[in-house]
Amino acid sequence: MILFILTIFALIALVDMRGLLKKKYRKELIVFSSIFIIALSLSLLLSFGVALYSPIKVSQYFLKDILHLSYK
Amino acid sequence: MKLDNETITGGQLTFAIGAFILGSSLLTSFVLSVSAQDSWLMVLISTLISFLIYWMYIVLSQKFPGKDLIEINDEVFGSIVGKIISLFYLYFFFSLAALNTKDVGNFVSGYVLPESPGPVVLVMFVFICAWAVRKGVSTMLRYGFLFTIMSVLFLGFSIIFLIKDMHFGNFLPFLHLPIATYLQSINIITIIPFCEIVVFFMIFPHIDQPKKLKKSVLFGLLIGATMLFLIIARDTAVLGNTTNILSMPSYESVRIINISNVITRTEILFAIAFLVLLFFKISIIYYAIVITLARIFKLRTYRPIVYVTGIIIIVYALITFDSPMENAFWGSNVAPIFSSLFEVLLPLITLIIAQIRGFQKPKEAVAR
Repeated sequence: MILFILTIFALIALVDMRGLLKKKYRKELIVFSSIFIIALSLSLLLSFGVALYSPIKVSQYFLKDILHLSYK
Repeated sequence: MKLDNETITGGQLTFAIGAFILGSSLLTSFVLSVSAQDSWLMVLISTLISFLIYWMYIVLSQKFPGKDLIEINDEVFGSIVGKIISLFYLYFFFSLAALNTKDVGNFVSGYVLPESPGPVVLVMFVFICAWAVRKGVSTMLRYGFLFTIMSVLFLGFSIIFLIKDMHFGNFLPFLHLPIATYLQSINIITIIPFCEIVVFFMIFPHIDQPKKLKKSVLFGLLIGATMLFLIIARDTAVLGNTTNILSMPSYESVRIINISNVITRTEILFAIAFLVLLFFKISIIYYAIVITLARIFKLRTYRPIVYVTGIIIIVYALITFDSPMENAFWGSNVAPIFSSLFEVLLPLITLIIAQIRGFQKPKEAVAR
């Protein structure tokens, strides 16, 4: 599974980064790499079985239990 | 600053909005579980309310011709507050994409491919969406017409095939639930299928004749609303009281099709139609996410970040909810309020502030 993830990320880096490096888009490269690192770490955490807390549940908690804005 | 120079026609936009609304046709259980057999009436009322909200979107978009939501935020709120609001929108778009992708997962692993692992389906699905997004907006929207016609045909056939199973007594008793239930139901229909159109703010600037925007958007709503009305009425007539306990009523009702044991088990064709519509919907939301990201960081091109964003959508979709039941609770009770913050409240505030700060339609810019 981890091998699979790493292969996919290597492919993405190969496809997208080559164009960026060729055109010398610095800012795009920085943004791309930061999203890349976030995505890689999230998917590795998920594959290790770490229970990630879903952001949608945070907003559900906020709306339902703190503001009491829900129908039930 | 334009990220790409593609243009779309008014007709493409109309059918894209129609197909986008129909992408939610699998999710009718959110509303059917609340207002059961009276849902068809709620669809009509919500359509009227949505007309007003769409009007607001159109006015806002025409105040700033050629600008998308993020640029509008920057202009109205200033660059810092505008960025914060844009980040909220980004979170909202991510949540929409993740929830819809999760619906694909639930549907495929529940009905179509029960044995295959969920993540595999999601990865392949999001990869296809990413492919579509990389091709650009006009390529994506060109298929809206095809998908709308396809779903009209499928819906027509399903209604013809199901006529003998329909019992119009299922619509009774009429309006016997408490009024709060109806308000909730109207809120759900207005927000979940109709006003998710807020993602089209990223696509409006591409239209070739901005004057046609109003007509094409409202006509798109009309197509989507008519189809949704027919779907909900069909499900109520066919399934009766069971609609409010089934998790995917529109799929369950086409499973019933059986014409003297010859035309039977056609549901897999409908499953393909549902998946195609969801593909269309998710690719448009996906496009909105990528453009939002590119705008926030002021990138010159959006194509390189498409695949990596897709990975985040997959991860988010996998962790959204533990069970379809939680998802259904969210859809019926919390989502209408959560989404109305972004779909009604924020655009309304933006419009009011734009009005107060006196942004007028730049006449010479239109003439150019």
